Amino acid sequence: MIREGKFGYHEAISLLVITISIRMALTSPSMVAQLVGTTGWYMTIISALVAAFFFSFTVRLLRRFPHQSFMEIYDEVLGKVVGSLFTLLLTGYLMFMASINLREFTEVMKVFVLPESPPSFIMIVFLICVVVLTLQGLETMARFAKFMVYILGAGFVLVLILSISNYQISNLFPILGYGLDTTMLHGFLRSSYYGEVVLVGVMASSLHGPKEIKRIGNRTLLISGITTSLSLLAFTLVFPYTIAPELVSPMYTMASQINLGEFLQRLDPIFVFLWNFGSFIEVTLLFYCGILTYAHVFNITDKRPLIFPKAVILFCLAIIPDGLSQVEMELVQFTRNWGWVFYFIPPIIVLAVAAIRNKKGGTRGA
Amino acid sequence: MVLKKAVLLIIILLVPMFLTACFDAIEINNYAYVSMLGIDEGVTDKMRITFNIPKFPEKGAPDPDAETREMENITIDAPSLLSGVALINSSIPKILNFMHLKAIVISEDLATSENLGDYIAPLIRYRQIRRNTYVFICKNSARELILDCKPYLDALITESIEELVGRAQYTGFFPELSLGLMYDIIKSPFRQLMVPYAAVNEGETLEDGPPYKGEYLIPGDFYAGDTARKGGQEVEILGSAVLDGDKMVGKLTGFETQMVLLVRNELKRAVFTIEDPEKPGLVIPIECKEFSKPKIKVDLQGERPQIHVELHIEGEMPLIQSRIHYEDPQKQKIIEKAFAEYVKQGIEKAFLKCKTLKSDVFDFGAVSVTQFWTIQQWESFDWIKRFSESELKADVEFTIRRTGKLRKSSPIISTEGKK
Repeated sequence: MIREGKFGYHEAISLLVITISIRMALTSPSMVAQLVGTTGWYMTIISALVAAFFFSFTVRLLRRFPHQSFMEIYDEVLGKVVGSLFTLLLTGYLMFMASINLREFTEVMKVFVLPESPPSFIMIVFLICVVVLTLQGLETMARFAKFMVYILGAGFVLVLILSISNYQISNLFPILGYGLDTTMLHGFLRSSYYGEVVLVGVMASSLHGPKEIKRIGNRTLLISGITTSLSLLAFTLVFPYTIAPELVSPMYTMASQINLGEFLQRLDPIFVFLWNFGSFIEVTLLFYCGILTYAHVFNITDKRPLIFPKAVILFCLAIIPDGLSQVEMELVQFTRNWGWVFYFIPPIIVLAVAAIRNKKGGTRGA
Repeated sequence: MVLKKAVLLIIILLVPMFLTACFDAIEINNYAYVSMLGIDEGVTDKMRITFNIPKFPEKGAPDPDAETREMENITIDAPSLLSGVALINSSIPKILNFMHLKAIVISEDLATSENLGDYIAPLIRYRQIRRNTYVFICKNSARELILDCKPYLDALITESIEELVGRAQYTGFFPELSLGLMYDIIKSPFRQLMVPYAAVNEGETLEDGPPYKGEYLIPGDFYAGDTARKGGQEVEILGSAVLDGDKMVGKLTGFETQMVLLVRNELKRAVFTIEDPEKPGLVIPIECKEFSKPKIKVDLQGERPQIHVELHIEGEMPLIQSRIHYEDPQKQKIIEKAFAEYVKQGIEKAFLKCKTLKSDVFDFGAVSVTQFWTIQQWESFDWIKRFSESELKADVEFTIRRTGKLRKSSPIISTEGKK
């Protein structure tokens, strides 16, 4: 049996903030620059606000059914069959996200750090770590995230500060990028970037009630909004809008450009450290939530036997894309533009159905 | 129990297989680390690539001088860097590695041939080449320059290159440019490229003859390779190559480059020399260490962009050849005015040259872009084209803060009296 356990506010926020913000380390910023030019740093604030708006419905749903997870609520409101379909939709999407993130990580790793290693080797080593952490359960994962968040935060701030000498204020102009309408549109669509905040609904039984879930969600959005906006701001200040869309990993490139005096240079390893641990936590959480939702649908109480087969499936899914171009231009783009449909819309539908059918949860555990 | 023992035995038997290290491991001494890369126009293929490979100490105690003694230079004609590397890797027992590449030298012929964007810019993609690698354009062939580039005073070659480039901050005679910045600028809609200009100076310009009786010359107002000197490094960096996009269209002298860097606020300290306003023929060096951030305004309302630059400089007067009492606050004003005029004229001269070359190396576009709301508006304005229509007004203020270790100069006394 995997012990899901209980964990607190700080652990949950750490877990979600790392899962959301670490994508800044990969190809996301380039795509943002391609879409909106110089305005990525405030476009992401629009995205966070839209995500907060959508998340408010999730909070309402979880308040209506206190101490129940999404899966239990779906079953209760929609019935076992339709509820299971909704849960399986989430399972599928989480596995899809985990596989894309795993492949994106592998490809970027191959470009910058391990050019000689075959992708399958990188993925297998990574998946072994994912499987080990998954076996430890959600509580261990959350506590590990809390331990890592300070180190990752310090590394992140260090990279931003040491890059100051490469900042060019003029790179922020024209201040409206390709136009306010374009920024608003992509700001809305890319609310998917913050979609993982709804995973509090999947982990609800490990948290301490709807009030705390609301606090966790809102703080997660605030912190990851700030870190993402700061990353994009730094990256916009370093690279002009004509170059930014060309880079595979702008944040890595930014770190590798640090050159202070003749002694402080070649700091990319700091960044590799941030990026590896962050991606590890991100993929593990998505994978774990995928198993949790799947096990719920089929009433599997002991999730351990699922871990290895699911890891094999994850590996197979991740190996399917042709290469980095397909991953970043098609798949990652799809998840950023349409992820909100999978993350935010089902809870809204369920909330609406619950309101129409006047369904409310009990006070279990209250 | 038997099964457990069997499993344990199998594990024990398998463990040694993991102790053999990586079967495809490459040791550090399997690589030949390239420290400089020269690129010329090819003769039998598109590019002529020269690799400068310093020799590292052999096994045993580290030998700090080993790199200074011997270097390998390999030249090859190839269609691209990677194909050149592959060909060389087949003829030497090491693998070429660019992780420690310090500088890329491009020949002037290649830079003027519009092939820079095709041959040099793609190097940025190559994983081993860092964006921090320095870039130079050189007079004549890049191969010759690389052959003449030697470590100075027992330093390592990489150290010598780094320190030579670092001098840019103290003189301003050439800009500091990395491959990454070069790549960013050739694709930028608001600035154009100025690349350090290097040449081999074998001391032929230092002539013997009668004492100089000519007029005052602005120090550094010439190009690399033209300095009248003997000794020191044969490789000299002075002035800059000006590019329009990826094509070299002209050159700025060391002095003109100083003026551009002054406006770009990239000059940290510099020594200028002006002619003594009250005793022509003698000079007064001015050492400037404080440059306030230039105030630049660009008015785009009229037919031609109007650029206004305001500069405030502070400096010292460490040497007065004429012994005129310029330490006196009233007299100081004469020097302050003369120096301000000197800088103003210098900036205008450099600006006119860049205008003729149609290249905004002053980065005035970075100020203009702030007046546009959207990228579409900015790109349709087309600053790069409009720069050559612009007009400049420069206002320079100069304040003397100190006058060296003397507070006045007394006359020299001889049998002919005081002078």
